[in-house]
Amino acid sequence: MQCLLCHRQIREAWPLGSLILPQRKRISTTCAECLGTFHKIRLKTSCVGCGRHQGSKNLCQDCQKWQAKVNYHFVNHALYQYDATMKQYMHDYKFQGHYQLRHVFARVFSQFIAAQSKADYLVALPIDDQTWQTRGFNQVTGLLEDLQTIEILNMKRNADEKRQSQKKRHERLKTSNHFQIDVECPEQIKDKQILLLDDVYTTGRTLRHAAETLYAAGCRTVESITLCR
Amino acid sequence: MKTRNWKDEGIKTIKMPTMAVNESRVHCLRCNTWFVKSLVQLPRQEFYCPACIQLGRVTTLENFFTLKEPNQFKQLAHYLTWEGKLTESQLRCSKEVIHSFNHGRDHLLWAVTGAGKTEMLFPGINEALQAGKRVCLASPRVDVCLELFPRLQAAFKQVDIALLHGRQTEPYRYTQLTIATTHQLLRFYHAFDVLIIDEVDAFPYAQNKKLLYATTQAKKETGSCLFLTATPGEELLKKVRQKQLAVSYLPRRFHGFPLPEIQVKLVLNWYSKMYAQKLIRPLKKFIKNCQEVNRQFLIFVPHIKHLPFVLKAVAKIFPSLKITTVFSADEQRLEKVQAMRNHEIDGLITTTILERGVTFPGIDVCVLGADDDTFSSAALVQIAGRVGRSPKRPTGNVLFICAGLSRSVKRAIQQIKFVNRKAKEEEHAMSSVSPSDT
Repeated sequence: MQCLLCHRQIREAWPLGSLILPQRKRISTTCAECLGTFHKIRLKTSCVGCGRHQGSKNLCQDCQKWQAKVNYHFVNHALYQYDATMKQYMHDYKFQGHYQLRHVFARVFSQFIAAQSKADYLVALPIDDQTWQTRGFNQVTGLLEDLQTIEILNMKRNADEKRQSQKKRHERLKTSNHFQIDVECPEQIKDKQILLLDDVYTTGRTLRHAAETLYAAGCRTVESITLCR
Repeated sequence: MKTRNWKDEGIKTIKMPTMAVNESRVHCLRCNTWFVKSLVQLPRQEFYCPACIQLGRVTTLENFFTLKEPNQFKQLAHYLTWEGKLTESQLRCSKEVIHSFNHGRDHLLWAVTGAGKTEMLFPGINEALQAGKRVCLASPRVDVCLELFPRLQAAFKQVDIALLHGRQTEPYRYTQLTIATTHQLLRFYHAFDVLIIDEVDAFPYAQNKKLLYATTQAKKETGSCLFLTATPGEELLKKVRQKQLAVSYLPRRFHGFPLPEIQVKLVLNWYSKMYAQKLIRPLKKFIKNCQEVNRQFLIFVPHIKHLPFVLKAVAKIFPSLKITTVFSADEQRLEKVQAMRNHEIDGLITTTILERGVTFPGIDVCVLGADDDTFSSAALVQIAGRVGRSPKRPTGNVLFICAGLSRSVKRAIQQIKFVNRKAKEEEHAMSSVSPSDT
């Protein structure tokens, strides 16, 4: 198997026991050196509000501002730091559209979600129709291996509006809510715990829009997990 | 930039599919790579090609559009402004090349390292431009393209030349003469009447089926392709033997001397001896020879990890020598090469990155572990070709140190002997003609 990121051959040791006791060994898609260039976030040293990597567990400045602004409960956990290598990865995966690269993080991300979650339903953030046309895949559902999600959110963006990722910070914070609830769903999610899933938490604007929409539809709690922060 | 409206000019765009899908596999129509369906599937039964994604993704969501090459170029009074003179054999080769261009045939030009290939191309390019043909000069290496561009621009001062490579920031222009890396050829479809590929044997072109396919796609069906190389691989030679490819030899260097032949010294365990800081005898003799007459030298090693201890071992025995190491990821690579050119250092220890493209006049070369897999026969011939490049010292020493004669070492020795024999034959054939200016 070739490493998805550096294209070098991955040499793996097969334990002797696997000859005697046939066990399903997952073939790794990324070599250890490449995976080592991404930095995990540890719970002990990250903000409890958004999962940002910092020295302590306290609320970071951004989260304090959010707390003053909104009056509902919302917490995010993140798995990796959004640093230069991760940005490059996201560029290749999302914007260049290299769908195979989902395998780099799909397993760790899915396991992380399964371990954290006490929620009733998982909801992956949707993409709009135009992105479906050009990109051809939803980058979030790509990262989920066999987790069951429900599609209750729709996203509509004006054709001439910029994507979140192309905006400056203050522009992003001013964005209006593009999410709508699928009409058929409200009964199903009433009084339920929802876990939102996304690839990157940057300002938290998008995720909070989704959370607001879900709270308005009657969900009990909404939290989120992102691949990076 | 002025954009042209092709529709107004009555030229129709042709729509083509991007990928061909069959029952179990898909293949990309840009780079001709085949995939098992499930590996490259997007949701909703769409597919994409991960092989050529660096040039922008190819998916079944989109289509290719192409224009039939209109060859609408402004006629100039003069194309070639170069005023140098070609030697007898260069002239002969360029005539053969022009003949192939006119008949739409593929051609191989086997020219030894340092034969003056680029100059020899000028008449051929000139003729093609005059005939209103569209010409592209492609090379697998960016640095070669960057070096060729000013030379061609100087030779064809009136002609607008576009330079295409991965790091180019200028937008694409439609020009009669284009210089591009071979990867950029993937963007063209039936566009060029004349396609010249420099250093066909260089990485990554030689090993890359994608790029070979790109060449056949980029030239017109009636067009012709010229391959330039000092070390043709088996594929090309096979085509020559089957008479599918015309061939011209340029076996003599511009100064007329034969290529220095390779000397081989067999040493077992050069690796562990050098690692133990013992300088093996042939290498010691080689360096001593160089030191006595104050001559610069290059030492090639198979791998980056060999560099530090080889340097240490040499520096231990010859503390007065100024030597250093160069490798691909070296930040001071260009400075060190420049220092070597300025005679500020006596020698470089390096990997295959200096195998081609660089010229230090009058040096000697030694290859440690020439039987290693990293040295292909093409690489070895190129390395041997670093020697004897200046008319002042047209000879020199090429020393290979290896544990045994590998196939590529043998083949490299044979190739050099072969071209030297060719050179002699040519000399005999032209003995009535006075030798050209050297």
